[in-house]
Amino acid sequence: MKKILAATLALALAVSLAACGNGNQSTPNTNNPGSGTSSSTPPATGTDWPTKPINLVVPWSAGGDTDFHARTLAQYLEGELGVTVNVVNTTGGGGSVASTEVKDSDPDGYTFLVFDSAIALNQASGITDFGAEAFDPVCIIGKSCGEFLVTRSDAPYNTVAELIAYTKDHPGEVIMAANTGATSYYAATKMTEQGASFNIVNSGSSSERVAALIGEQIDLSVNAYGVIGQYIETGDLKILGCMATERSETYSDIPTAVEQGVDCSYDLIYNVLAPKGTDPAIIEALCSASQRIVEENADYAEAIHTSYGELPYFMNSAEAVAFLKEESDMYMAYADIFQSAS
Amino acid sequence: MIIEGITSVLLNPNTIFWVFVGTFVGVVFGCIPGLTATMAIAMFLPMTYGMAAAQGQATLIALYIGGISGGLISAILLNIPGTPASMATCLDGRPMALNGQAGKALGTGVVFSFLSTILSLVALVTIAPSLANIAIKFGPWEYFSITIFSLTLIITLSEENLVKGLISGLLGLMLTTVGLAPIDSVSRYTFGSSALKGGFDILTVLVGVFAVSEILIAAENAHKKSRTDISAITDFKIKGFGISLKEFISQIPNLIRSSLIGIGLGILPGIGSGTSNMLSYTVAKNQSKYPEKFGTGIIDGVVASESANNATIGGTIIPLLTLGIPGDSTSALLLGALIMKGVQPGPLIFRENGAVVYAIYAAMALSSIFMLVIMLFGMKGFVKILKIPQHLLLPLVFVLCMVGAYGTNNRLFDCWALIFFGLMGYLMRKGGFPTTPLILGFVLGPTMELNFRRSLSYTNGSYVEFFTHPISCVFLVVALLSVILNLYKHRKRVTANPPT
Repeated sequence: MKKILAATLALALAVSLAACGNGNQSTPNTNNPGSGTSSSTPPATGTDWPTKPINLVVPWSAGGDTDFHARTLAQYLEGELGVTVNVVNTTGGGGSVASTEVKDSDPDGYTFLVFDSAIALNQASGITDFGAEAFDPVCIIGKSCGEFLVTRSDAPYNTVAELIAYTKDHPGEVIMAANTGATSYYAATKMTEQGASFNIVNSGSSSERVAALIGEQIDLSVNAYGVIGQYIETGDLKILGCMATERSETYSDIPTAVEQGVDCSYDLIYNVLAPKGTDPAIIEALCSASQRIVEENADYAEAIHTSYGELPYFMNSAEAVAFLKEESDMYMAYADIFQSAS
Repeated sequence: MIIEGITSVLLNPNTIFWVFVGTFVGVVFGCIPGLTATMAIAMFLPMTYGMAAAQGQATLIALYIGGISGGLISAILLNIPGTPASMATCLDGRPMALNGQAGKALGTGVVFSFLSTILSLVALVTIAPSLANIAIKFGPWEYFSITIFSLTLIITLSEENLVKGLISGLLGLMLTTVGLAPIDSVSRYTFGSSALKGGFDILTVLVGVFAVSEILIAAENAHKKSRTDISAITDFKIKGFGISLKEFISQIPNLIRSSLIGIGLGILPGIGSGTSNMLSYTVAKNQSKYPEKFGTGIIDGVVASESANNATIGGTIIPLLTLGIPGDSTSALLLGALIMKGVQPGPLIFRENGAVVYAIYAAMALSSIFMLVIMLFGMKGFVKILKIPQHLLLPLVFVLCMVGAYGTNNRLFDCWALIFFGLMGYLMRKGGFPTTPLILGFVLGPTMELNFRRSLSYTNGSYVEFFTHPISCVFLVVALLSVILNLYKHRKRVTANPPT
């Protein structure tokens, strides 16, 4: 009996170690006892990198869109780079816990942040005091199909432009769900600038907002297509316009707000960022490996299309730096409004 | 489509294998303090990318059921709840173990976990869409009022010292304010530390307050002669399921009531999992003919808690499938796994991905059967854990807790938080403060604050709507009645047996 017990305990221990091993490995600040010397190794050069597992830190829990992009990329990076690529989920603080940790971690080329447009929004809303400029951007690996302004089918307006006109006559009557420090708040702010008048409330995550919309607690929400698609089909909801800079190829029949003459557009992108001071040769190597996956790997393309309706989209380091700067400027222009909302 | 979904699980040896593995791993994770169903699912999630949608979901559901069910083992044998879902199981399960009835407590817990999972599955299959419609009617006012009502449970959970219970509950509520505030993301009590911005994880609070403090107390008692040596008094004899047919029949009303509470709270995202076991325990106690026996080691307490927590699984899956709203971090992972496979939960999921839905149903049924078999077979082994000398067992438990704390978020901060809460729990217990109210406060705090602030933003600061929304008003009135009634009962109890 003792043997069985010992075996059971050993198994339990093994399983728990496996649990730990899955989230391989330690926080970026911590020395990994297994490979011990992460901080004392000399900076790797482009020629021998990588020689040990790479960690991609995702600031959200497993199962979300950013996590999905990181994991799908990691899966194929292993083939390109020949080492294990771990996805580490470190959540909390609207993503700021992970972004701060990676920012302050050793720029040895083995720790990267896979984040999204929230990096700029966090800075604009005051959650962090830094943006993408505190990192060495590696690349941009994807762009979402955009967000859509959605309302119930019985609403007396059918486009974004009509909505703004309607709220001019009925100030403060339309209840719009917008989360401080999120794109929805940016959309609300931009429309308000152009004369709209909403009662802005917080209604939580994208699926909670849809439920609140159906339950007639709110009148307007900004959502990705996936969550609202079925309600469009059942006729419960209707889309007023697409908030992206240009029509998504997947939903090409939905006009953008800009096409309707309303100045409000933003794109949601997924980026890979390295701690400042990472060897440029490593960044270049990771960037080109990622580019091969995003632009040439058919399995990758199919995976992102099945799950989020996306088409391959890529920007190299130089393009990413320019884009992230532009994105940051766009949201930082509204930092005062974002922060006074609290 | 129904047939296709069910056969994709039941006639596919590969899927059956994965459901078995999932249930087994889930039970192991559930019974080890510090490791949870959520962690097991996060670990398996990447593996399901390569599986068909139905098979992947079946595996994850099995982990979920195994994980929630396994929690009763450590709750009963070690007085350490693996998840908030089995907290109330400690209250009577542990005294039963101390009375030499560990096998009976485990058997009861397993059988009623199984039955309530099946009951919640029946609810899921038959009335899921109409239940989801109720959930849609719930705005922030209703959620706020329900959390207020749930907080009145603190009175019952305070045992004999009401003031200390309230202090403990308040402490739990206060701990939830650390980190970024809901809605406006203002940093509170972070002292400039980025690690504190994320706030405290429920796992570190729960495991710290329950497990680490238990270990510290055991270490202290090791030097006392008067210590109760549980390994000497435990009777390992287990017959059949551990309970007699007569006892089983007498618990059927308790099973049905507790399962309904579990399902009902399960469909309310954010409230379900941590609260249902405590609510149903309290209700069972209040409705009982012998409330004074609760807490001394009777099966009623175990039945109430274990029926409610497993029934919550079915309840949680209802808004997940029909609205795409995950009720907790565990179901958020299930949602992610569905979306990655291109299965979008929503009103049309039955039409567009019906096969996946029915595969989930079939996997729930299959997994609960596996759970019953695995746990009944394992029971004789589990009780042997009590035979291990505490000085060998508890350090191992401590290491596992640390591994679990690290695994929640892959950072050392959570390990320090675990030790901090361990010391806090130890001091509380030495001072005679009940620790259950602290966890209840910690579980409900975020939902309460978020919905309170949401309500006020909806109404531009008016409090009137808390009373003009009928459901919200009802819950506030019930909360008030619950306070009055429980205070009256508490007073009567204390005057009858004045504390010495």
